[in-house]
Amino acid sequence: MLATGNQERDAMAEVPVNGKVLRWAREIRGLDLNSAATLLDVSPSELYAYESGEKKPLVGFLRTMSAKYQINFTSLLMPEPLPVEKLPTDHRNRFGKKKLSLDTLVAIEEVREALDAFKDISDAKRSIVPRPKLGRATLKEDPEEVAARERKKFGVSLELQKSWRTQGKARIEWRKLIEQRGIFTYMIALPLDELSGFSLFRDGLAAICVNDREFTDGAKIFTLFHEYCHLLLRKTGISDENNKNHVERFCNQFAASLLIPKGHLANAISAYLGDIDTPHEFSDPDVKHLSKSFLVSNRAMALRLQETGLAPSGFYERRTAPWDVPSEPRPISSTSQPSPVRMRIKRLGRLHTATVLEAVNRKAINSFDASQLIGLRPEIFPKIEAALG
Amino acid sequence: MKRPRSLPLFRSTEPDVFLFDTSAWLSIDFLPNRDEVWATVRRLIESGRLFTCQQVVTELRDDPIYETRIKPFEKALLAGDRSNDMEHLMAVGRITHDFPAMSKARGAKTPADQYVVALAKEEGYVVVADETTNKRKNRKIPGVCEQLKIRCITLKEFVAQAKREDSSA
Repeated sequence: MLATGNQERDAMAEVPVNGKVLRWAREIRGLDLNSAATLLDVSPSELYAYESGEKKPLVGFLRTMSAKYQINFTSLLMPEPLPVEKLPTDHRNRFGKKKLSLDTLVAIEEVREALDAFKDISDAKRSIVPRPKLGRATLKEDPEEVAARERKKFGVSLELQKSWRTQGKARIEWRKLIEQRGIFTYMIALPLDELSGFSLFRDGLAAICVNDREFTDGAKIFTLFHEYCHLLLRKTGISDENNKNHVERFCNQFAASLLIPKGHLANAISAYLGDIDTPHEFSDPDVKHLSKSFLVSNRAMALRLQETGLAPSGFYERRTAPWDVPSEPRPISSTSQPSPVRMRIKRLGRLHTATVLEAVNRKAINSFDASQLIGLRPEIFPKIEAALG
Repeated sequence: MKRPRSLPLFRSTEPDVFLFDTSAWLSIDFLPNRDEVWATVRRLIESGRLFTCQQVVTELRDDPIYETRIKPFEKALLAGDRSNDMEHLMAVGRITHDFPAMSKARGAKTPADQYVVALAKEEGYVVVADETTNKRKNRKIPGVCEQLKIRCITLKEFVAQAKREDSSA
């Protein structure tokens, strides 16, 4: 489409912005000068000139900056930068504390904004937004006991767990159960060598975000419960499920214990391998067979075998080290792409989506705000309602 | 052209000019007397007493009311818009800075709210926003307008005022 005369004039106008604001915008998106310049297709010295106030950008350039940094355009016009909002606690260690990427920082902001919107809805009509029904746990407790207590609350027997048959179905069912406790869950594709997920508490509302780039549904289930444990501990933050950080280790043990109850694991091993002396050096195929029967990730199973003493000390690190090597994501063929509606529900969770629809149906928000929160146009809402069942 | 502000002792005798936010447009069809309200809106647009801003129109583009209710009057509705005016843009930046929660200053999207508030403040317009007043005053247009001493009314209040004006005319 050709630009109109006004649009062209608009794009060519110099804007008396504060360079410090441009720098603030770059920094809150985790970009250094060189990577930001590459993103904007200018030289680092040109970008520095804008940020230092030597040169004034054109409106068109600011619009490009807003799009590339994924930041509100009018924020670039502010007279002064805003205070930098504290990021969630960083518990990562597995690949070192890699600088958080733009995608991750935007995802954290997206989840924060969603919780803020739900707080607004709750202030207008309290009954629309469920409050989290969460117990508490402390690091002094035994993660095995905490997991047994929580599993009981979820009311999932081993028979029910096995009846889900695939990890994909198990991921959907476990996620529903967590959402029934009033916790918003998100699945967003983020850099795999950066984090497995994060959790947030904000104004009495709780959210879990799982990295949707994790290779298996089993790994995503593990992250769901790992982050659930962060919420129980009231020690939320950014996770990579390393075993070096004591909070991460506790949450790992919790997730593995909840998904693979000890007694059931012992029975499964007897049925598969017969009587064996423990600790036993389980092979990769053993781990894979056992993880399949509990619909969990191999990593979760390896950890569980070690923590229960059924495998020797150091087994988890030995087994999982080769699995840590990042590999290219599998290509998705166009024929296997799910519908946009299903993709949005997967990303935002059923609780988020259903709460937004209820809010618009009960006129707590309008259709535009709802479409912003769901990311689909209002005329698609009936299809979303149908997909939610 | 700026409208004269009312002086402390003397109220302006000029009729109010209304600036509609997205929420107001989207609420009209939920009113029982919606046909009557649309007729009032149309009359006020034609008499140059009802405007909106470009960003609100952009937000409404995906809604069915755009084609039927907005597009035919778009030029008249945007006669008061100042989106291409640098002074106005910087004013929008100031509102974004002073009310980051309403403006979603750290977010990826650019809402229309800060444009509406800045335009109303500069031009002395009355904001029509059908948003529930939030307990957290900085998050929604009515709370921000209150702090900036901009008159902000709901759609129902707008309808009542238009009726009063009609009956006294």
